[in-house]
Amino acid sequence: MTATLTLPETAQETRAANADVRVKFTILVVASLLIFVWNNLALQVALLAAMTALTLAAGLGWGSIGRLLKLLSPAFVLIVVIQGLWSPFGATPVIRLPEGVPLLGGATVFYWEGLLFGLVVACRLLVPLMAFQYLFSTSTPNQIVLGLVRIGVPYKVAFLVSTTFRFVPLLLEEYHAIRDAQRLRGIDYDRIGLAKKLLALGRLLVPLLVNCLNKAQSLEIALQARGFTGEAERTYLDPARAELRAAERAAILGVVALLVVAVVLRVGFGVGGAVV
Amino acid sequence: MALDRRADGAVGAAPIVPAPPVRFEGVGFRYRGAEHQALDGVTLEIARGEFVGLIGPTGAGKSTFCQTLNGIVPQFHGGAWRGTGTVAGHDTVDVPTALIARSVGMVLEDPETQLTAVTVEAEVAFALENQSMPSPEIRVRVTEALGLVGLSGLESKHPANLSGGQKQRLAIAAALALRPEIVVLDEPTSQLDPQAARDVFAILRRINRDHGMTVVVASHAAEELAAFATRIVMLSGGRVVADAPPAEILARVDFLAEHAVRPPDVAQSVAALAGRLGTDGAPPVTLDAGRAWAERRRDALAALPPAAPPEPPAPKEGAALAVEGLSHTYPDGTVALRGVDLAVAPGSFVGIVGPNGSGKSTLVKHFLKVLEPTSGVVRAEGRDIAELSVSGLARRIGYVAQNAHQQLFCGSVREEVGFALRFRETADADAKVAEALSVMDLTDVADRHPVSLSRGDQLRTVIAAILALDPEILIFDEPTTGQDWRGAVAILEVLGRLNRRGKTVVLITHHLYLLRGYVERLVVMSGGGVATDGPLRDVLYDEAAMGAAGLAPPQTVELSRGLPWLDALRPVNAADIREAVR
Repeated sequence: MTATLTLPETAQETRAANADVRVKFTILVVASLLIFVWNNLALQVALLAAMTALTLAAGLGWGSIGRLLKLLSPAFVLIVVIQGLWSPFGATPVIRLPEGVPLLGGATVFYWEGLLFGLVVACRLLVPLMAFQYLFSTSTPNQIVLGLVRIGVPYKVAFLVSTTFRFVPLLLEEYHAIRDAQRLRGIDYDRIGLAKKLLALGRLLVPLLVNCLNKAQSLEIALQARGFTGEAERTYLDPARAELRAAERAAILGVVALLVVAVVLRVGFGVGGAVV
Repeated sequence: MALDRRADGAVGAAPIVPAPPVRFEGVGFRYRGAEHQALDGVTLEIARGEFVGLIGPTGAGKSTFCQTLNGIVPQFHGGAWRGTGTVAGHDTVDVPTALIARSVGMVLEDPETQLTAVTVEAEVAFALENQSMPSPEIRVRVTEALGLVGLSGLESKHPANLSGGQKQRLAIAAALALRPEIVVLDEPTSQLDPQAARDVFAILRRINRDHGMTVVVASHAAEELAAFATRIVMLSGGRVVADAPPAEILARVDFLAEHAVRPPDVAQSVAALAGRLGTDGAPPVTLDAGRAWAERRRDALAALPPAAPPEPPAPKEGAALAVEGLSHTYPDGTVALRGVDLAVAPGSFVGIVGPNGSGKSTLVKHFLKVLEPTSGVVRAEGRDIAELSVSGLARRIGYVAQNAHQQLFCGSVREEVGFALRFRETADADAKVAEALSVMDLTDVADRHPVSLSRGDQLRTVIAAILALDPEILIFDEPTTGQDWRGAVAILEVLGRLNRRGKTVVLITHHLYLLRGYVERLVVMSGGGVATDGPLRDVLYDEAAMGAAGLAPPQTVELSRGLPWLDALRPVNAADIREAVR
């Protein structure tokens, strides 16, 4: 998990990776909206294929997609099974209990429609996460802050976003240190029951919170000492290109147009409303 | 580096008589909710080009004073302020910190939390960007500042991948990039190993001497301050109790000790000798001056009745802890240990020293299965620990990790000490907790919240929690880091007491001057292996081995080499000399 969050994996110098942050933002926002415009599985799969192509074009490799799949796999299984079992759209049975079973004999327990809708929901999880990964794994925090400021986000908020990402590894490190401290008192996480495990984990929160607040305060002091005011009036060591290239403009326009067309078709003609 | 400093902060306005960069008049400050004044009537001026060392015990007001220099106190911390502070022409109450920061560079103790960027160059550029400096000028300044601290070539590295010393040098570069009038450093070397600490002081001396920058550094590093500072300001209870050149203040050995400030090792030893030799005058405070002082008294030293070092305690037999052919490679490919063989006898007190990255912590983490060996065997009381459970090991071995005081997780000291016992539903838990509290002198604070205690008491709480499990072996990883002299000595006293009660004690530390009287055997680690191992005195006097491991012995050792009488006594600190001349 840390790997996707600690940013600069940007070894690959590809066009997709080097695109302006504003292009990446547009893709993130549009992809996150399109998944809810469409219920249609084929359209969702097409969107997923497009995001996969983009991820590979940015040089992030199949490994990065594999990590996301692994992270989400328990959720996928749960969603597909639940939708299959209890889908409100259920019509076509996949599994039917044999007539001989008492009480429930002949009842349908797993529906084709539910299964398909489950796959749609899985796409809805995966697509925005891939867009998110594309943005954050191919841009430095500096570029993200600058990009956010250029689309009108106040500098302080933009800075907060990038600092949050810096803090995640610190938080994890702190969590492991305290867990180790508990182990050193003889608390064996692998051998204790769930209730005790929860008690021990609950105890982690106090020092974790205190230490993180202390670190946040030190960081604030360090920022003040470097003359940080949060004003948008500032310069950059590497000012990203202020002007978008023609291809980047075209990409933004194309992606936004896709969203508009999809919304019009869905609202006006119901295109993409049905799962199949 | 071209330093176009401005006395009043205004572009192009050259003042006729430059004002001193720092002028404080009757400055007092009390934090909100605090009972005592953090600063109390501080009046002083710091002139351009001075190198001021700020000393004093924990709680003397050193950090608060540092933070007043750029207005963080009182602007960021709420509290009651009185008096006036002017720094680089700015009133520290009225002018926002962000503006004062253009003239005052600041470096804090913990290198981790003051770094904000994800590349080295972006870190240095951050303060310049905040000032809206044109990008090409930022590039020039970044290159210049990284060159000054010796980090050129690492521009695109992630700060997390730097060593502790490199991180601190990066923080200094970030402060220097502003070309400030003053650089203020609050305990910049307390988290570093001795070599990295010397590097930091060498940089400070260079920017002070070669570039005329005013430096203010709060530090417990008495030897370095004696060598580099031009002036020492001593705080105690928020007041300035002494203010003079280092040769004057640091020579007042008894006065410093009264205020829990450690005098330079050489000053203590010379003071101990001076009484016996009938010499008056203040003892020298630097090693060079100390050597010169002793050289002039060769004849007097030779005339002293012969002395020999005290007999070292007989080596103990057996192995409470042992590693055989232990190697460890971290997942990123770093080889931390290379086939280490080591046995620790029951009831012994063993010190492990060595530079950062030499494998000290990696080694001891194997004893409690925090790390698994890549190859080799770890034994506790003769048994391969691979066969033991974590909770079984914790009953045999207590391990106090680095910064353990930050890892307290219960609502009261009593609950903290009994936490593991209640987890295991131990029968006589209350009695064991009471005993551990009493051994660590914590009975009076047993019902207080651990977070409300001093750092020293927090550490004692961790030790008590481990003693409650009654382990025979205790391992401490740099317990004296960040403590003042009194605090550090108090911790060594606790360790010594536990050792006398029969516990086997293993101590990792950088503080070689603390070990005499406690540690009997010293293991020097270097490059993932054991470089030297023997009685404390023999190892400290093994010049070649210490040098090869990048360690400097206490100044008393360097003072004594090749001099009559001292050469035979082989003292490791002033206490050896005091005992011999008694």
